[in-house]
Amino acid sequence: MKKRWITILLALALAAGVICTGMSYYAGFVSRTIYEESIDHLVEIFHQANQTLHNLVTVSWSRVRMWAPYLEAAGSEEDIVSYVNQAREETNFTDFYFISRDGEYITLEGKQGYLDLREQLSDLILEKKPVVAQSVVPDKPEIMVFAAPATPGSYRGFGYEAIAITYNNSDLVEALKVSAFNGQAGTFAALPDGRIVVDNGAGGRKNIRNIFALLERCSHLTDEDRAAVQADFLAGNSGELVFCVGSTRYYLVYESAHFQDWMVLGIVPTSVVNASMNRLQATTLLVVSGIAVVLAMLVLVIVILQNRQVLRRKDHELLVRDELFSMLSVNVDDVFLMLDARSLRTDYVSPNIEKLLGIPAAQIYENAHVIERILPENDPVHLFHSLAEIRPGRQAEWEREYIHQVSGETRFFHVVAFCNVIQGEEKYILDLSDRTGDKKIHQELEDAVCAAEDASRAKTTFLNNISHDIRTPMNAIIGFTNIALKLDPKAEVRDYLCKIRNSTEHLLTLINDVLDISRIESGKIEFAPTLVDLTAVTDAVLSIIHGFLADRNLTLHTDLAVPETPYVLADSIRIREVLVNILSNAVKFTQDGGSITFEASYLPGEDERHILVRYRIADTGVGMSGEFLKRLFDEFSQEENGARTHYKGTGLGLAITKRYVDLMGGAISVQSKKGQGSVFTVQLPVELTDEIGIQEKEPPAVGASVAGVRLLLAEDNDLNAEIAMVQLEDLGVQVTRARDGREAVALFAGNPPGAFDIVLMDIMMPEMNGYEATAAIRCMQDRPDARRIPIIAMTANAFAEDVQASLNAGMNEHLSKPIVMEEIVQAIVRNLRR
Amino acid sequence: MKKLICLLLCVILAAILLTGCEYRAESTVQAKDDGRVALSIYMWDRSMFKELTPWLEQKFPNIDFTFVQSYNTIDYYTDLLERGYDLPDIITCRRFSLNDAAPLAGHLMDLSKSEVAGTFYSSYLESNRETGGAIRWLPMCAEVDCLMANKDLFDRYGIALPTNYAEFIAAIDAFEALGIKGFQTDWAYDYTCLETMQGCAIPELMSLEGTRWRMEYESETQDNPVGLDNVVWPKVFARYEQFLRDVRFEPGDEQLNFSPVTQPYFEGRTAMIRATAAMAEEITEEYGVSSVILPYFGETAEDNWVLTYPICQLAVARHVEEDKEKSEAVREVLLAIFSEEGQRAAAAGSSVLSYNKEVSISPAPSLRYVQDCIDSNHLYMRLASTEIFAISLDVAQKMMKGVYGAQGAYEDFSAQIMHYVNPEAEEVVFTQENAYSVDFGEHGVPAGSSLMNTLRVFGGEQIAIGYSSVISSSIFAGDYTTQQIKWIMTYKNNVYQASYTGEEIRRIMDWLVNVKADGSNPVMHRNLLPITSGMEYTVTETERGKFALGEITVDGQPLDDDAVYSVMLLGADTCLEHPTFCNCPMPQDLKDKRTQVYEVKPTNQGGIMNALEKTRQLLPPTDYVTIVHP
Repeated sequence: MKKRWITILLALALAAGVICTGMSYYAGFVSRTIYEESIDHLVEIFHQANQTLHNLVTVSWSRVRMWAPYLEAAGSEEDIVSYVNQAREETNFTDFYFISRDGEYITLEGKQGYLDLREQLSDLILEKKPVVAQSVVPDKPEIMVFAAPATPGSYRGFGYEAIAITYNNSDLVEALKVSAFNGQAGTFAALPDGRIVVDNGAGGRKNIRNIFALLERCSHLTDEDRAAVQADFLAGNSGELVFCVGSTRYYLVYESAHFQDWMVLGIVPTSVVNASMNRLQATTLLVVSGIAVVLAMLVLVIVILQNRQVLRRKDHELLVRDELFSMLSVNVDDVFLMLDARSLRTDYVSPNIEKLLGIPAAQIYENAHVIERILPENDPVHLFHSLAEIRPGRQAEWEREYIHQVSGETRFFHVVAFCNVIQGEEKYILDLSDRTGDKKIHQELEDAVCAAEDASRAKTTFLNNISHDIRTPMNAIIGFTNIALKLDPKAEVRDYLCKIRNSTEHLLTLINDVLDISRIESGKIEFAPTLVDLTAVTDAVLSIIHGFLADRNLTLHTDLAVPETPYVLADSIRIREVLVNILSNAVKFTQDGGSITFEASYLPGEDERHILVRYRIADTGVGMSGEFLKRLFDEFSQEENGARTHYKGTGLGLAITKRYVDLMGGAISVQSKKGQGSVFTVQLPVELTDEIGIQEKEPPAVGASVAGVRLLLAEDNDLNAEIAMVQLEDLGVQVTRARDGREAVALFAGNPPGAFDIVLMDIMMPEMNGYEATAAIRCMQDRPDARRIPIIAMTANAFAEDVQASLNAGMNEHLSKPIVMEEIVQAIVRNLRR
Repeated sequence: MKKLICLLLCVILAAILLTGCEYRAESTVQAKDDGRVALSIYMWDRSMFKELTPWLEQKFPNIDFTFVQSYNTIDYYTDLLERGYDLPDIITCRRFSLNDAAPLAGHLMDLSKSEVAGTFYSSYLESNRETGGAIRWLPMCAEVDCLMANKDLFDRYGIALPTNYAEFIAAIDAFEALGIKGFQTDWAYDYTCLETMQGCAIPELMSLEGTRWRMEYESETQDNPVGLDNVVWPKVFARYEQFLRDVRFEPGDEQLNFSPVTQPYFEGRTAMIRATAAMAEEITEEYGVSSVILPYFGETAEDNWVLTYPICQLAVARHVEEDKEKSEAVREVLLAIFSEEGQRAAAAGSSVLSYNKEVSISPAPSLRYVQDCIDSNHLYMRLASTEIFAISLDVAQKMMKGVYGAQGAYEDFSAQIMHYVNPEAEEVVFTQENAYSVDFGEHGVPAGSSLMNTLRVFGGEQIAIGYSSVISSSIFAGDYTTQQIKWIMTYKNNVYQASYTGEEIRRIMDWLVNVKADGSNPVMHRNLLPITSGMEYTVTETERGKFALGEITVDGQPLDDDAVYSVMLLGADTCLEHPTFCNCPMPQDLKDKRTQVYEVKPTNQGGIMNALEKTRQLLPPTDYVTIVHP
């Protein structure tokens, strides 16, 4: 509101400023114009007066000069008198003088006296020059003398050598009379030092003694202004200015009279000269002012109307807001309370308090502390004590429980308290929001989440258990099949055993894939980049593929670029699985005689820290139809072309591959044409690293012997234990079996240090699982070998997190069931070498 | 919001105040007049104190005037400057010529563009215009100084008042035949010699050659002195020689001063004397001797001339321009002085002619026989440079004594005027060690007290009383010539001695201080309080310029009314006793007691001259008066 007023005032001030500036400019312009016009007008008028004076002087000169020869030739003194009197009637001079050599004079009437011409007498008499002089007799008006030398003569016995006519200075006033300006124009003749010699003053400017003395008293003029006028007087220049006497302003115009160094001055009040212009200006200003006032009024009216409109809108808004607030305060589950901070007196409480808390509003108005008395018995916190800690502009929140005073039920409230200054007084505003309903819904949601989490945990457990439980008999089947095959059975039995093994391997693959896809979907698979040597990854892949090609007539072309920096942060296991999956598909779907091309190249990444690894795998296999390509990466998708009969698969391989590529932030694409083959392109972004700490790949334990190795086998499943023991003992390994973890720990502890070289530890065992047993062994303080003895997990827990869990438990390596004896041997050799 | 409203109100208030300031600017002069301004005015003669100074003080209550009775020559002011003192704000002098005024030009304001100069008839001011165009001296109204005739005497003996020179001589002869002196004058004075010398030959001096010479002489410079004209001036001396003869000058007359000439005139034993129109009026009125002014006669009535001169010339010190308030005050004071009322006050009722357009003073009755001269502008302005005065006295006296005739006079005058040296301004008489101010201090005028102490000690009296201000300048430390010594004491003082009782002294002081029953005021200004030596007194200033006598002490003890004291009285009778001045006649019994001590010829500063011959120093001042504030 204040800002609005300030804005309005500023706008009005600005408008006033603009109007004033405009008016000022206009007034200045008009004043200048009036001044210039008036001065021109005055100069013209006073120039005419000066011209009249000049004509008078000229005529006087002419006559005086003309009379001299006449007087010489005049027949008698009567003729002279008659002649001069006639001339006097024509020119109105005051007197006619015959002047003697010594300056004495005699008038036409015979009156004699001395005419004080000072140094000009000499010019007149001796130099025979005509002169103009001022002279005076005490207590008489000053006279202006126009004298001319004459042939010496005599008049009434008075010897003369010059004649003159004189004008009383006051008579010259007539010549300078200006009829304009209603008699308000004063005309003066002044000497160069400013003294007035002819005063035809008018109005209030009569009896000026010295024009400079008058200007001296005008405070509006500067010394420079006065000096300029004085200089003009001395030089006989014309000029003009405006000066003030008291509150009256006058125009002064001056110009040389062109004789006797006189200056003719004109002085007229500016108000007289500018009367009509001033009227015009005043009228204009009046009209403009009127328009300005009308405009201002209009603006004012508009502002008032707008304000009214705004006020009406505000009123309406307030009404609506009030209504809304009333509705809300009655119907919402929030109790609003305003308290005076100093007295805790209730300024307002919403009427719904009775509904929500069972307290009549009147009681709150009477005593706000009532609200503190409906707390549960065990709630020690008093709301009003907390209010005192809230500073103006701050707020605090609490969760409170209140007992509904009618129903007796406990209701949950979220209390928000504000402290605010309203019209100089501190107020607490409390919002008691009834969250009892929310609290119930929240509780239900929490229960649902718990149930979902329980379900998730159950699923995981189920998956883990099913994996474990499937792998355990699978281990037995595969194990015993392998053992049986080693017993050199008959060909028919061998064939059956081989089929059993193939079927179990297929089953195992099928189980692994199903479990993998399930884990991926349940978010159990996480992308875990580690320091990786990319060349080692491709080498490993090729090594696997070469195994697949052993009994096939396929040509494998490789084009593997060498990366500038082989060490990157990536998930080598997933990359390997992706590539092996695609390559194994290529092997599977390419008929003998065909070829497979494996290319690896490295492209720049999104920045200097990343590169893009691109693998391209092309085959000349059966290819895929365009229709199938659209759902190539869907789960369980296999082209209905009878291939299923030829090529065994779950239809999950590429789905898993796609999931892994997506997990690694990469992309996989495929181009294929039925009967011509397929091209898979995988692009994976990997982060470069300066680390080079990858251990050199250990050489495969080819031909390594494990004979004589003392091995502690912890395995609760008898079949699995038997399988492991039979096969290990066949290799000369001395196996000591423990039936559970506890027994394993006991056996380790019960034997002297060095009694065992290595431990194969099942995980899921009764009494004590593998993790606990490992921890127990590692913690044996009195056994120097407890920390260094290799412990290898050998478990049906085959998931990556299981591997990590084994390592975390202090084990050195993790082998998944079903066991592959070559892997066990290699693991034993690998760990015993260290 | 409130702040904003306050701000707006402040802006409006400031605007109103600023507007008010603008209106104030219009009345700056008025505002300045509200403050008091100090002005010092040196009056050439005591007569100016009679009406002019009280009138000025009454007219300008906001101005603190300091009036000092100074001297009649410009040399007096030149001496002030030479001693390193500033000129007073306004100065006046009687004897004036542009030549004499030249040394002061740089220290005086140019008044040509002043308002007051505009009140003069232009042609009168022109004679005071310097070659550079400046007008620094303004002439106050004209005094007529011619021949005065006892008309009663003429009437009594049926002798017609003369209208030309021949009749003038005839009248003298007629009176001489009756045993009455036809014409006599105070030949001892330089002005008498100057005026009679010029007055008898005005037609010559006003001839074309005469006026040309005069203009040449008045514009002479120090490097280019102008001597006497060889056409006009021989005639002047011839005329003067004839005049002396015609007026029946007798050997010894050259020593006549004022009283020996006026007394016989009052008594009807002399028919005509030289006098001013003011004197004619005065004598007619006060002595009952109907006196009229006659012109200096020419061969015909048309050749008669009246000799005039301004009663004084006035100038303003240049430093006044630096003080705007003072400048404004001076402007107003000058306009007042040269107004009709001011000039009447300056002339103190004397018969004068005005030089100002706006002043109309009708010629006094005593001038009725020279009205023709006035009407015909036969008004001769005396040639009055200092050297002309001095040489005129010397040459005229020698002519009177028969040292030489007209030719000799011409030659001597010519010689002196080319190399004039004032002998009184040459020789250092004594060197004053201490300076004393003429300004009224806490207890009187120090310089005046010093003078009175010196005179009393010289005379050996117990008490000395100066009638009024007897000091005309500060006493300076340094050398004093005779001329400078004369400037110490005011003009026209007589020194008397008598023995008075304390009671009589109290009456003398009552006469000198207290306002009389008829309103006559012997003081008028505190500078004119009597200066005493050997006696102290207190006064109360009851009104501005009016004082009441308080206690009188002698050497700190109350005056003993019964005791007899030897007293020196110093003062001009004309100042206090004369009706035209203070109209405060000294009680006759007191007056009868006194005897004049010093011879006053040819100057009346004999007292101080004689005292200094003895003391060689002007003695330190003493506190002699205390003004008690009521």
